Amino acid sequence: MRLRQPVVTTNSDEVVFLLRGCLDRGSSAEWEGFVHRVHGTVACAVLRAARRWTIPTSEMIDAMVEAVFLRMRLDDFAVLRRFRGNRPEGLLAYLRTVAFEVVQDDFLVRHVEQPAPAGAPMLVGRTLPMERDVLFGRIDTCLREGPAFPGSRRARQLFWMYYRHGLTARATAEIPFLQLSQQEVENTIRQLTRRTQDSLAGNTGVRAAEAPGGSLSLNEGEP
Amino acid sequence: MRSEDERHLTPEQIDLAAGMQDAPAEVTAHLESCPQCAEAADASRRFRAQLHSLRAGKTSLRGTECPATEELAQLAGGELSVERVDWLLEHIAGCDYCGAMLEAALGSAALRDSDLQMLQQLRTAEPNWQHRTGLAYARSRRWAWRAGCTGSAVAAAILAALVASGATRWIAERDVSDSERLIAGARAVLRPLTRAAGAVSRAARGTRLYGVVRGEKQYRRR
Repeated sequence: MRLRQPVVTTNSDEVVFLLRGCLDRGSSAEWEGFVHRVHGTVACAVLRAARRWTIPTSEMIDAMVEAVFLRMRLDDFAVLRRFRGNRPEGLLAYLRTVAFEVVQDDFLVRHVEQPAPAGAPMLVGRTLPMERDVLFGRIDTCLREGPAFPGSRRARQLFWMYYRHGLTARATAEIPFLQLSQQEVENTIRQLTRRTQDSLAGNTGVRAAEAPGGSLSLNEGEP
Repeated sequence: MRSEDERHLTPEQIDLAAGMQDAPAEVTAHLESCPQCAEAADASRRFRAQLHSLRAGKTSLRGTECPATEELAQLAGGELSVERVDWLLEHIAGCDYCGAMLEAALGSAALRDSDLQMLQQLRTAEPNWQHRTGLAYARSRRWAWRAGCTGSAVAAAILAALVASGATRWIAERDVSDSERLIAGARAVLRPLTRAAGAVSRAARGTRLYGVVRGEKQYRRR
């Protein structure tokens, strides 16, 4: 049997069009091109997600990449059909989330099957263990009730993305909507941290007065 | 005031000393000689450690109010409305699951050289595997299309049968006289019998014909 050459896209913009073509009765060459194009993104996402749980081996990554591609294929490509965007960044981000879900589900099942060690509760959505919840509530109240400045709401969101989710300043700056540089994100977090520390310590001296105001101001809600 | 500022470290330098970034030599030297600044740097370090202890766990599950995965991907890809982005960021700030999902969508966690090497050597990175997957995808799509056609045909047939039975019932239950209904009912009962009788008679005719043909052949042989 003669093998057809896969449709290889060099332009990242073409990946969305390639997917649309594939879903609309695509040939095996087109599908192969799509698989080839997104494999790297999926494999990286799988590796990152697996590393949250363990030190992954190549066999483990291979098996999970296969599982991700299988998930995409189920129910007449329901997962891929759900993507409605037009930007390649959006599609690749979407595939990363799909890969993350597959890996997370897999490890959660294994985690549930194992006897849970003490102090490792299963958490749903916003919940935190009690002592952390208390600390989180105290700091969040302090952030909400502190002196308002332009963009204080956005600054609070950046603060929690950094401390609660471990999103680096660089990663946060990559969110297109925010339109902030890495330096701006770093400054915002640093100044808000200082201000919060002062507020919690009841320190209203020079450092609190110096705190943000001028430099810590973000254009909230503007693209 | 100015002279005091000069004597002590600035808040930025305290941050540096607390370990957010590499502290310059003069800051480190000052900390050794000034207990007040050393205490401030230590307090700052403790507070940051406390904040980092709030780091979300890996076992968090999706909550009922969490947004769809597609929306988080759209946020990372820059394809959402301003109002929605604001709601999403507010939600993510307080949700462990969505925070982890956004981090995954951004794909920002750094990979080591050894990771990149491993990714290149994956079995699934080989053209052969990708070819097979492409082929399976195309076949799956074709089967799904055929299944869809068959399903549509079956659904159409069922619908037609339902419409026909409904129409028959409607005709039967129309405002007609009792005698007409009786006749229609009798016909409906007799119809299969008539058909069966017809089939039997056709079969009998066929047998007769077969017998005639066979008899003729035997006669010729003789």
